[in-house]
Amino acid sequence: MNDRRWWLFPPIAWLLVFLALPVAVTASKAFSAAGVEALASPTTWRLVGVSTLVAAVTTAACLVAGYPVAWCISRMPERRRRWVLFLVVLPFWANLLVRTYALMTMLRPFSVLDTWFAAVFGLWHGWLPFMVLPLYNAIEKLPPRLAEAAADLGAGPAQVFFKVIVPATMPGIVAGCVLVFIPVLGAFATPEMLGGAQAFMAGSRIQLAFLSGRNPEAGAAMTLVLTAITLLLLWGYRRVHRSEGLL
Amino acid sequence: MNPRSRPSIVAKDVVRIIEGRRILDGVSLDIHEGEFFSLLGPSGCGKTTLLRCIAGFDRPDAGTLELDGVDLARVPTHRRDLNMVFQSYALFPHLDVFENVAFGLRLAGSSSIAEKVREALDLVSLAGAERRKPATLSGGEQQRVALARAIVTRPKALLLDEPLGALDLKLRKGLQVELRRIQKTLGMTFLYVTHDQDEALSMSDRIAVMDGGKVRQIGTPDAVYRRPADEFVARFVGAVNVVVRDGRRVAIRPEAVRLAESSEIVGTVDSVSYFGARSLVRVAVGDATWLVEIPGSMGRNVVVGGSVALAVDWADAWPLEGAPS
Repeated sequence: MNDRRWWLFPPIAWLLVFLALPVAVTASKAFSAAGVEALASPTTWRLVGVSTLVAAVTTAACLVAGYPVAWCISRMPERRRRWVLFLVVLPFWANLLVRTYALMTMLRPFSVLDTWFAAVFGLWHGWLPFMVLPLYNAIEKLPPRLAEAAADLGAGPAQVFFKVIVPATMPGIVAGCVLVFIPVLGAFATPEMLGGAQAFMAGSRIQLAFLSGRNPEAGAAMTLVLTAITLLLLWGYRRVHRSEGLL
Repeated sequence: MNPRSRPSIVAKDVVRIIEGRRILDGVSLDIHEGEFFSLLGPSGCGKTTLLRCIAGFDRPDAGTLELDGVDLARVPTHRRDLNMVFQSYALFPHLDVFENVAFGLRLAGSSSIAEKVREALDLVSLAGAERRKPATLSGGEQQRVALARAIVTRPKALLLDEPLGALDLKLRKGLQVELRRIQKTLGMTFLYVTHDQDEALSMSDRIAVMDGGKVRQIGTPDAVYRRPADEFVARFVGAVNVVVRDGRRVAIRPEAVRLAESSEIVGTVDSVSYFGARSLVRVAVGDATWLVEIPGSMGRNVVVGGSVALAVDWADAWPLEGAPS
């Protein structure tokens, strides 16, 4: 075996142990009798639908809130920019559960706990930095004077934004959406703590199925469905934007 | 094509103050329709700020700007029939060359877009590049696209902000000639900002030399070069000797001085710089240093440290304000 091939061994081993093997185990469980039964059950599909909807709403909320934030940061002077980016990432220094408890305390006076709103709010709050960072990266890379050039050629403020700024930062928008959508699709801790029994998502069902040990096959089946949804979205995006060389 | 005398862009006493500094300090200009007009000056003289005020990216604190007799104060950028060519090109990275050029046409709801885009790309010698993305083009090509994008909608005037500043010398020289050709072909008013005096002199119908937010002189390249209004203009548009004659300060260009067999001015050669077609000789005469321009090949015959006599065409000299120091 020559030297070059030898270096491929660690990553291949890593992928085999931590990706291929778990997927194989999950798939074998999912396609067992109990797994197929779960796949056929309407409850499974209702939960998948709810999770997809929550992930979509959260992603949209993160995009709407994250874009202006990223825009403002990219317009700041260098020194302040570094500080504000640090502040954006700072929440990750605290554990997710601790942050969620803090949110519970914050939301309690507004009597919105144990609602879908609280669940989505918590997810939005938790994953917003994952939207801001790639957006900032894309906005910061825009050629200087781009907005001026568009206005100069006759584009009004809305046209400048939607015809030039948004398409030119599309790689960042897609990256941010992917980074938020995927974790939210499988989320369970935050929605359970803030949304209570009402906010029961696919992730909660999976966690329950595995941890209670009663029905790992159903959990595996639902896991595969969520993974398939993610892959389908990525594939669809690639088909539409293949010519632009994104992703 | 002679510039017609109809005014295109008119600035009257324009003042712009940024953080307490008067970036523009009462600038007045009349730019004629079809004219190639340059704003020439060192960085920080206010030339780019004036251009940005005309484009609508900045607004004057006082004074008025007009385009074809219409006050621009209440006209937003996107409704001004002016297009800008930026030093940084500012092409739309997500659009190919064709769509970049078509951008303004589509917004205007123009007809026969494909034909107009093709014409514009022909004019800037970029036919065939329609489907390429800006990132795959060289700097010179990107600036051609930016130019095509700006002229395709046939605006009343084109504003060019040091468009060749980011390009290397050889490319710049070629594009200077091409820009001039395109301007003449279209008969369009060009307002060109540059800090490069050779560029301004070789391309312009008229030049406004600016410094410290003020216009020092407006005139044809010949007038600005041969009859500069003051010492600043004289020094900015080319090398100049400032000497005392008959108790007055006078200025004279190096090419109006020759090395002679004998004359009343005798000095010692300080240095010789060879530039190919010409050589520049520094001659120490008493306390003063004279610059003398001679044909390049003659530079070899001049010995550093040797004694030379200077013959001066005093008819080409002009007096300067101020007492001799």
